[in-house]
Amino acid sequence: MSLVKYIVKRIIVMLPVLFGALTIGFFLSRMMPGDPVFWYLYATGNPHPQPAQYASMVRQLGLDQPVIIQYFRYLGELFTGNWGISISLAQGEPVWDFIMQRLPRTIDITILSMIIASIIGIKSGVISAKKRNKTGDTFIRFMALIGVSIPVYFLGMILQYYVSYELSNLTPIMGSMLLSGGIIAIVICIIFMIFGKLIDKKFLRLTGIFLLIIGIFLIYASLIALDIILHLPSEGFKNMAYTDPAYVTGFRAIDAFISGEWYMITDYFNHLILPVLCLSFITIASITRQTRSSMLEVLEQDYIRTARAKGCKEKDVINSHALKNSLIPTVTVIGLNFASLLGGAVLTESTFNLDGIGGLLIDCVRNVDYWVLSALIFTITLMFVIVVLITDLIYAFLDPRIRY
Amino acid sequence: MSLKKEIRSETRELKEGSLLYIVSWIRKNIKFLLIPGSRLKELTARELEYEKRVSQRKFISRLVAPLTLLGIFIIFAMITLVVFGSWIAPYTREEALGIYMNAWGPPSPENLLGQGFYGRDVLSRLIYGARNSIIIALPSITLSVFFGVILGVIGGYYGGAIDSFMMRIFDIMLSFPALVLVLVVVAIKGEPLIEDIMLAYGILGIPYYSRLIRGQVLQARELPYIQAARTSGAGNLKLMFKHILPNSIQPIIIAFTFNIGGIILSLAGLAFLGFSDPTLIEWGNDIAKARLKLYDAPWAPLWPGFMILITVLGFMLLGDGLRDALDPRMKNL
Repeated sequence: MSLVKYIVKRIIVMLPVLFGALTIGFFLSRMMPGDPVFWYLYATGNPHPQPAQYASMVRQLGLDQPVIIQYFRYLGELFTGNWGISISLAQGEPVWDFIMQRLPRTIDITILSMIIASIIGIKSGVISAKKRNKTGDTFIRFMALIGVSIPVYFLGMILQYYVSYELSNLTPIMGSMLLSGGIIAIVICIIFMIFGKLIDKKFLRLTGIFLLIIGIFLIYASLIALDIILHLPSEGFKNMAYTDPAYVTGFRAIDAFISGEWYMITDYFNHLILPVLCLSFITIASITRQTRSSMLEVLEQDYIRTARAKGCKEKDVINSHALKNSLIPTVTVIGLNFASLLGGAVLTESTFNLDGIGGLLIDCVRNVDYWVLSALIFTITLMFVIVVLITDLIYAFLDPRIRY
Repeated sequence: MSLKKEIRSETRELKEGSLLYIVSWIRKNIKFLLIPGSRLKELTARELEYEKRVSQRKFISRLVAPLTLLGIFIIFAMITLVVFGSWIAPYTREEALGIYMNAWGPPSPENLLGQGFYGRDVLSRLIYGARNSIIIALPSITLSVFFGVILGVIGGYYGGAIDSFMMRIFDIMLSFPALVLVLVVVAIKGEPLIEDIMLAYGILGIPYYSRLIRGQVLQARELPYIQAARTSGAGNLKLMFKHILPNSIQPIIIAFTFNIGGIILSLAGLAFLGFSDPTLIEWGNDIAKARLKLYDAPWAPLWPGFMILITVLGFMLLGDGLRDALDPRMKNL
């Protein structure tokens, strides 16, 4: 019962924040220069409107009133569920219909990249804390720092150029050479792994893993060059040849699954690989850093020494005693990253030309779309606040001492 | 007494005010500059000197990790580009802003890294761009640190209504999407001026520093030495800014180093989206102009991106090293 009370209390605290976001969003969008009404008339087939037509359109949209009256009218309309219409982007379409077209794509990318990032990030953070100040730790820390400091559009452009474009230009002869190279790499890897196990040399096994990654990549490249699989698309959400699947939920993969058009699912995920790789690389970095520092803190504690002294396996000490206690700051970081990705990975989306929330945001600012911008700012703030609330609730599961 | 004279004479060997004296003073007191509160006044002169030397040696030995050295090296290289850019670059600033025939030309002996937009030399623009890209980060971060620290100390020290009011405002600011606000502010001004962007980022950074130092102040406020200072008659201002602030500024220094990199990244991202002063020679601008030519002239967008990566990485490495060196929990390791 106290949990419900806590949630209700938190929601009551959330309300002023949301109201503030709504107000700031409204006034900011009104302060922008530019004329959406002209674009509305232009797009609806009236490029040279008469002054009378223009004035009647302005009156129809209610933009001739003073801003403060518009604001109260807007608030009043909200209670009837009317969030306004999109003026310049999608002429006359209700705001939520318009946002709901874009939202599922952002959610898809966010969820996929957060799953990958959480798994790899926590794992590498634990490894790095276990081998503090050794080579492995230094390597992981350096990679994490690169992930924090790389501009996402730079990473995206490198992937677009070297992975998507260069691989699609390979000739079949190059492909067969790459294939043989990949097979050789994997054979050497297997030999290294077996010898590494036999004579117990860690270095050999690490080299083996490294060779395995190279081998898999070479074979993948050769398959593209031999025209066995399609090359990775560099932009967009779908091949031009495919139409959208029938609208059921708005999520492309689920819609295609329901309507039975399986080839669309593979096509869709093929388009998602590069953006998800890009976003998860950046998120992995922050999760790794947080996990490492909180792991280091926990490993100093007395109960870890106790656990070791009573004869626990090192694996159990790390995974069940230490990790669970060090997860709270990590969960915070995951939550914040999740919220910021949901609020539109603006740079990634504009690099890969994905029409998600982030792309919509930029379009709104460029085209001065009043009501869509206000609603978007509200949505982003709402998602942020909700994710923070959920993170706070997860704390209680991780740490039974926390009670609400 | 004789010992004090000895110490004084040691420091007086170098002429006071000379460059070498300043350098040696900074080298001796680097830890005490970064953590002003760690000066131990009640020790005798000999102990003080010993403590100083030991802690300084510990601090420097912890700072001299390979990754930190790499970061310092990168930052010095960037500062060299900022200061001596016009000596290093193969073309003058006017030539880097000129208009030439062969746009998007490949690398050649005349243009080592190829040609970009309007046939401008990529290498020269990289070097001139260092100045703008790095320096525009500093005013905004100084603004947010200055006001953030003052507001945070006041809020944490007085508590009560002021504190909770400020925290509510900061909650709204933190949950509000920063990029949107900056985009809209830039759009409101019409012509994107770099000063407006810096101001917007500076104001948006205030809550972060404010919350950071508030937590520290809340801890420090209850310590015995503050009670002692209050009983001996220190006023509120003196307590806040002489006694509490120096003891809680350490996380701010670390966050400051990290956030220089972060701000450079954000400003470049904004320029990438096209919201920046187009007349500036700046890495983000160059990428924004060249991104559509990625497949024809990959050198034009990729090199500026690489420079941003290297610069930000330098600051992040230094911040990481500083945190390891200053973190009191790591002292026993």
